[in-house]
Amino acid sequence: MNETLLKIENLEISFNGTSEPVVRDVSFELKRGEAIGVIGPNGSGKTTVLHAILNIIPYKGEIKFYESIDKNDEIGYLPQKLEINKSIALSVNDFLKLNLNGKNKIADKGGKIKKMLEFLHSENLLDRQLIYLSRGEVQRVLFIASLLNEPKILLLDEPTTGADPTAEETIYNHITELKEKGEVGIIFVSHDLNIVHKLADKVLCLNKKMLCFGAPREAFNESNLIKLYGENMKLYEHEHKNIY
Amino acid sequence: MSIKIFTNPDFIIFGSGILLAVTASFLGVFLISRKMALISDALSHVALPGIGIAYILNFDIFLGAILVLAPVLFLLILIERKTKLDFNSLIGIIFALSIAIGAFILPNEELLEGLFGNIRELYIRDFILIALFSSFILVFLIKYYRELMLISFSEEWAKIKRINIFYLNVMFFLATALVISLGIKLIGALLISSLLIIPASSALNLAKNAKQMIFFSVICGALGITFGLYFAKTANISSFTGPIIIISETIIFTLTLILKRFRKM
Repeated sequence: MNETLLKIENLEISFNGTSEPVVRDVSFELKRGEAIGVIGPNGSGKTTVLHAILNIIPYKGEIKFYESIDKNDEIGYLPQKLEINKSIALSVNDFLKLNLNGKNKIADKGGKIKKMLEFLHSENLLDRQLIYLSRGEVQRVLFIASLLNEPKILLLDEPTTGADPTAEETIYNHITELKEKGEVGIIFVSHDLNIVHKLADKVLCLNKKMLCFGAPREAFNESNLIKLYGENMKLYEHEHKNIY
Repeated sequence: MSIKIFTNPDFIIFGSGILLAVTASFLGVFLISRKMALISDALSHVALPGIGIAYILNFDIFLGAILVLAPVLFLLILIERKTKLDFNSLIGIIFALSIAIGAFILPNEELLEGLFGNIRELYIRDFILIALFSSFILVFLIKYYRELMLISFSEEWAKIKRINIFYLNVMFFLATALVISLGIKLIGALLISSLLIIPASSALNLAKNAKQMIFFSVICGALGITFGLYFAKTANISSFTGPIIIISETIIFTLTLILKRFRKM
């Protein structure tokens, strides 16, 4: 517990042809068993930071994974939305099997995929074709795919996009459970400040650059929120008795 | 007897046809999943200048076709990577240019053969080439099944899964170029892409999962070519073999479409 998994220092990201960086001055640490909520307006670079951690876009600065992360260990990633080709007959079972890596392929003899589906109340999806699923159902399947190989770092980009309230609750309950088990470090992006307040141990405010990083109570102050979302943002305080 | 069967023209034609159909329809599953059906169609025409060069310099048209197709494809992938130009537009340009060059350098009769195939030109040497390269392609498709399926599902997801998309694209297009080149004598540059597209489309009408998709595609491909070749032989119209194969593949596609509607009712 509390062991550092990932350290980011002075992260700066520019896209081809633009001199102005889309993200700069981002530095933070992710610890095992910790959840970091990333907030910021549209286009503030939240997804871009996740892509840099996944190493699928070029960046400057340092993204350091600590020794406990094996090179072959996967980073679990749930994208906000994914373009899926529609001319493919792929069942949910097919897709999840394709996502299992070496050691888990053997482990699936014990029916890991089935167990995960049951756990997320989605066992009815096993033999359905992916192209006929609703957006919320696809999101649930991708969430399961991101967890299949037991990643030590989990990146979730607006994990409940398109999900109905029940699916949303299932996903967030599962994230809470994962956090409580203390085996993974989670970075999640959300527009829902209530959810961030409820789930995150730390909050990262981003608007092209890092504007704040700290515990939710420190981060959610009026000046930070105005910096993020503009003057029209107002904060209404009300008491939660059992918020944590 | 054992040698004689291999030199029997019927064995060569049916053997080559079925091997090619199995390979093309397996490959076709990934092509149509990636919405590249029309790309493969346009690409097959790029073989025409190669056929022309082979005719002028008097060497095998398979060699001529692949020697033009492979570098053109590689160039297209590189241009797309560097310039971010749309692959479809690039192919559209190369397609028209290839037909123009092909029509310019090929005499009429050879142009027709290049476009529609001529099974009388199919010899044991062609059968061996088809058997050899089909095996390579099938091994590649089976070995990289997971990666190719994930790319077909979503390139974005494949990237997240750290799959080397560039390398697999190069290999995949090389395999497509090989199938096209191998099929020119049997079915012609104008029609060969149907062998890639129609069986996989028939399979999509029937399949509920990935294994079924591949199984049905291969079965539809092999059945279509067998019926086509058999009909062309018994009706003694071997010069129309290519078109007859395509008609028989299309009949199978129509049947699967009816079956699909029937199942939905």
